Amino acid sequence: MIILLKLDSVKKVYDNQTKAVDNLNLEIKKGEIFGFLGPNGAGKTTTIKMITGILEATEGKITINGHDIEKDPIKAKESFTYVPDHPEIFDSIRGIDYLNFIADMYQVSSKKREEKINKFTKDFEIYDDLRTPINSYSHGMKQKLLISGALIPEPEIFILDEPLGGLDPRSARTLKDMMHDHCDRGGTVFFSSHVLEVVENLCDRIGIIDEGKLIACGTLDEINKNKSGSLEDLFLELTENE
Amino acid sequence: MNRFYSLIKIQLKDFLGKTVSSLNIKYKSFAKLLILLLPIAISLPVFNLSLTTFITFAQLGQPELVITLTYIGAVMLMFFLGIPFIVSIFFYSRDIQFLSALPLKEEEIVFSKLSTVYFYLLLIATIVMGPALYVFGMNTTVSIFYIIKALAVLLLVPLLPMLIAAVIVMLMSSFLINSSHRNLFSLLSNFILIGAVIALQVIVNRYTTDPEKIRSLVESGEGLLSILGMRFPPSIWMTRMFVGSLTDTILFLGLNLILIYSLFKLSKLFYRKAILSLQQGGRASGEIDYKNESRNYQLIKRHFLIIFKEPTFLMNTLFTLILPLFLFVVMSFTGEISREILNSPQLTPYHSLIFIIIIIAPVIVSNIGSTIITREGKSFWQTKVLPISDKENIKARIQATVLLTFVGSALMGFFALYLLELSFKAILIGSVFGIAVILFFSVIDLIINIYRPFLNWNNPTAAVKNNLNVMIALGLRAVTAGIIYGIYKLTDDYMLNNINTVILIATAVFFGAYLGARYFLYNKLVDRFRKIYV
Repeated sequence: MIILLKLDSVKKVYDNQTKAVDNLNLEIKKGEIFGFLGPNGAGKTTTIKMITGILEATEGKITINGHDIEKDPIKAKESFTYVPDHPEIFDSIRGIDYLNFIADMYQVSSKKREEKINKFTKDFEIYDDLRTPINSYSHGMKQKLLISGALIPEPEIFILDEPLGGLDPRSARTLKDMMHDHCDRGGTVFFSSHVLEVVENLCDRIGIIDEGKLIACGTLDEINKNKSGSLEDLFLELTENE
Repeated sequence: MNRFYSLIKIQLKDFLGKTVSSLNIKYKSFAKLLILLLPIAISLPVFNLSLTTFITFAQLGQPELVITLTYIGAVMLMFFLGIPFIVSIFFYSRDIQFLSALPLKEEEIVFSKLSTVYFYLLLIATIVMGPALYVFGMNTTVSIFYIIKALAVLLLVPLLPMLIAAVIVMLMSSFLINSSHRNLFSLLSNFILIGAVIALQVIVNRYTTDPEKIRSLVESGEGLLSILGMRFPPSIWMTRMFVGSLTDTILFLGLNLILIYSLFKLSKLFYRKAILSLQQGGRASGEIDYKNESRNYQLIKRHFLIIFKEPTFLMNTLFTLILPLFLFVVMSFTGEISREILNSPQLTPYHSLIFIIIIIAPVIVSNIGSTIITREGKSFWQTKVLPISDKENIKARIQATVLLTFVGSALMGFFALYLLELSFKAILIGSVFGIAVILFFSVIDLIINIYRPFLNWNNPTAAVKNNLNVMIALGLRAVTAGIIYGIYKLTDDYMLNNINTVILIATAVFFGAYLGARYFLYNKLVDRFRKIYV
């Protein structure tokens, strides 16, 4: 079994006192969809920012596809693409300029990018808006553009932070299908979400983080062992106990 | 509290908060102190000018003209600075949608937004007119009544230019603007400002260099005030109001009231036809291009697009790069510099030096590099997750800065070639020196930005104009110039007598300094750059 993403005793401390993430150990396997759950302020976004190299971990090691994100950032970053929770991108450019920029960064050929751009943007129904500046897009359209861009390079790991916020039901369904397709082609998906129903139906494994600590990790059945009820009940119970 | 006053209060608080945070100073109390001290520092030379003007007019028996003159100056300044400010708060503010959903009248929203313009202009009025009122009062009769009158005048002064500017913007935007013209409209209003500044410079120059005009003005005696106010009657009304005329007080206040009423009537139309129409987007058409480019090309292009697609950044860049060219063109029109003078035998030996001064002018006034990280704002995360090294990321920023500054210098170079009969040797020496200076300051400016990234801004103006990085960058240029001047003084006339040798040495020094700064940047600051995050 290939481990694509590994977090080894990762810790993040702000201002020498606030522990945002505390001794986090996590392994994400190739080909799985992993859901990362937790209440607001639990440390989900901080963890994702450390994984993607936006933030440096105070302690611990993060390896992506065998590459340390701090020691070998380029190789590590070639293995994943990322969609943040807030689609903050430079938005005075046109949608197509953004997609071409991303494609060039991951060195995607013209032919392949044309095929991918057409496919994803048509699936998300933003193809006709590609010539329009991004600042006239709605929140959901920006989110779809970022997701399309992140899928163009066919990354080994597709990392998304709260990807369903702002998406309409049809687009949410399209995204879920894309996640499945990505895994079927051998890719891996790591995403955080508040929508327990989505996580429950979509993920192979889930991890629950609270106050910076991983309090549960595994398949739903493994976590649910000796407990009854839905994921919602389980989530509330676990996060309350902490 | 009344809804309207509450709205004004929140707008002013927001404006002050943004001004304080835009200074990017860790200690807020220090930032507030700086905001208080800065106008005082700026008003010191104005105070000097007011005193000189007062003495001149006092000798002519009409000391009150110091108030008339400064009033005209203040009104023009406020009018031309007011237009882009009004455009920015109405067409680029992010709270319009939020305000639209509140139970407020259209005119309440428009007037509450104008309160920030009033506050901004009041600051300008205090800086420009305050010293004149002080000088006039201290040298004539100062009393409690005078102080009250002076304060009332200061409070009234911003109204007229603000109202005229607002009415113009409202009329223009109500009929011309739609969402695709917004950037064009903003650019146009800024170019009006630049054009006005240059026109003013030309008029002032022509006036001051024409002794006949000054003599006729002085000889007109009693009618001096009328001549000064002929083109702008409110200046006469205001001056006479100041010295106690009831009729002129009524005229001045009446004009302000009429403009307030017009603004009130126009605000509904303006709000519906201009402001709200901008909230609606359109769909563009055209070909989609899938051409692939190199990473470095895309990174540089990204920096260019960030500048060119955001009007505030574009104006700021054009302004700093092309302003020297504008000034030189104006100076050549007004005759301050001419081909005859510059190519005279006395100046020919210094052609290399003059050429250098002309071509490095854009480097001296530009500050592109000191805000190249800041400009990205909250989208800065994007390049951090891409598979590029921090060095590549930094290198593209330097290259973008160098290219833009080089274009500015090249334009100046063509102008210099028109003005000066330069030898090939002078062009070569000057160009190499120019390149060394561009490289050095591009790296230095980026170092400043790495130390002070300031990414959490909401208004692009805060990113490039009210940013202390710009002041630091300009300060470093002033220090460098000071050092060169100091060396010149210490070496007597050696520098002027051996100009080409000195330029070659200076080129070597700048190249050396560039290499040193570059080494420091790539070896010591990469880690700091990596740790920058929004």
